Amino acid sequence: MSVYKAYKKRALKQKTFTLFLLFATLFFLWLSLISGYNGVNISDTFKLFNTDEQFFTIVSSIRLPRALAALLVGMLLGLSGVVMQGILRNSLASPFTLGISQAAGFGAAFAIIVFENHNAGLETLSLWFVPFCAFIASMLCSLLIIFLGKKVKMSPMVLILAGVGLGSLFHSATMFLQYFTTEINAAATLFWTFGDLSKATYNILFILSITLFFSLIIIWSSHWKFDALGFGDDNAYNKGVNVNSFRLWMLLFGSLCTAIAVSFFGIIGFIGLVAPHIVKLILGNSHGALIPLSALSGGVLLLGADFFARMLLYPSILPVGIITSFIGAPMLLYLLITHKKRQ
Amino acid sequence: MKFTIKNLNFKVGTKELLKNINMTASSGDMISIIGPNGAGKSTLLKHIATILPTHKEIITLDGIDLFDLTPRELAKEIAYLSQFSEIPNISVLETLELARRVYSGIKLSQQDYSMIDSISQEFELTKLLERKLATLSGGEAQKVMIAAALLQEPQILLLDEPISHLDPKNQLEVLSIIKKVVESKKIICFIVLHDIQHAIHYASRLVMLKQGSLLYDVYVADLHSNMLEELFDVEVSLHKSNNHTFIYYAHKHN
Repeated sequence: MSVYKAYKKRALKQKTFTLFLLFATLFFLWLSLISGYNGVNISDTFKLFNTDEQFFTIVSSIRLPRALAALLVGMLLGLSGVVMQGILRNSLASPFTLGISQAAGFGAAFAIIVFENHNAGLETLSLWFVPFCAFIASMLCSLLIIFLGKKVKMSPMVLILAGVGLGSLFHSATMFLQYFTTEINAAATLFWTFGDLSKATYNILFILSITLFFSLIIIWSSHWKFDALGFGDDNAYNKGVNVNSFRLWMLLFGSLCTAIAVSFFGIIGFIGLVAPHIVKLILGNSHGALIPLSALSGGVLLLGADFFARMLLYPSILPVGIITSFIGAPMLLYLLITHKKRQ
Repeated sequence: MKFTIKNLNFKVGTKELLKNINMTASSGDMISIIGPNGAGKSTLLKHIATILPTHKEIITLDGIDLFDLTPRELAKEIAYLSQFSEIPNISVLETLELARRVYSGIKLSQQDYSMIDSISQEFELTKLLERKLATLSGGEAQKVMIAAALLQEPQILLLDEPISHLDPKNQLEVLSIIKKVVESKKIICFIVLHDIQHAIHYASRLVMLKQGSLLYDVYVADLHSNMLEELFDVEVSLHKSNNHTFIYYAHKHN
């Protein structure tokens, strides 16, 4: 087989999988828009294109922002996951390996407990203040890890251990705050950690899209450096990668993606771990396709998970964070088993 | 093309891994680095690849100080194949593509693909292009890695025991390919070999390292059994037949 034929065959495989993911995205978007407190209404499909004012209000103010938030947060987590797995050279790494979620949880607890910022009277301030504190705390955590990492030449193992250490530090700080506060505040911090997409507004979606757009471009433009890193640091250096600075910048952008998502919506587990693995099992670890498709898979997964979160016990709506782990874990196991069989 | 190493010393803690290494090489040299375990062979290669911290004005290529080059500039001059390497889950084609990224970045050119095409025909890799690296045999994988190293179009090729896990047929095949490339492309090759017979047969020069010091640096024609005895602390005799030199290690049976 000539190089060109192999190239074309691979391109076809990548395109087919991309089309499948795009189709799945549209399918779940459609499902999300026609489903509500009264279940899935296929007949509502036509209303999407009509000018039914009441229906339009429900879709545009509740269902659409929620669905788009699921897509964008899923993409950010999938992107962050593939970056972390790549630079830490560890397939168990996820957006939360470096303690970002615990740090964000601490930031939110700090805002709620110390500044008493769950007060509904300060609607607009409250909407931004808790995410702001969560974001500051999670970026502080990743900057601390980068600072520590620079002292040990960005060794992946040390970075992971530092993440575990900082994660438990932030977690215990959160528990410390919860122990001394009122029950209501403690409950509010706990509820914040359940990943929940109902908080979506168009302003938040705008911030998510901007972050995703620039991170995706910056991360994808280094796709071959991730491949080189797969051969080990020494070999990557000899293939033209400035390993330490590459790892530092990617760590920063990977963390940023997660921090933004987590700050607004709380902790949504498993998407960042599973999404890259789905693509890796189908297409392999070449990051040219892996990076954008991990993001897209993450988006599809979270859209799907959010749909189930809304429908599983309807009219009650579960926080999506509960569903992602619930579906994500068996799904990963299933993929691993079927993959072994195929070999 | 002229390559020089001047006063290379390397210490880890108080242990001197390389002591005052000086040597030169020029186009077409195939230099085998030999010596006992722990002599500093791999360490020397890693210095030439500047993977280990170097200092200014130690290693130069045509007057250019390698210390001053960025990783990307270095990768165009030097290709390094480590003794052990982690194997990512990517295909042979993707491995070969990766070698051209240093020139073309995110999108490879038509020329890159025609280079990949011709080298995969030369190395008989065309049937393997779609296979993942991890599914290849040792010989196949090593050929892929050498082909990838050559796609970097290096002036200097550094190979750390490239044949140590191969069967005799693959050993000869891989070494012949390397020798052919070094001679036809007029590059410099430093190759660490444990099999002295291969070193004598395929290299033009032998650099002998012992405990971090350069013991001898000789052309193969000037090799004397004393040198190898001193290097390895075993009795050695060299025998000539059909213009080939054969090495024989003296030993006793009880």
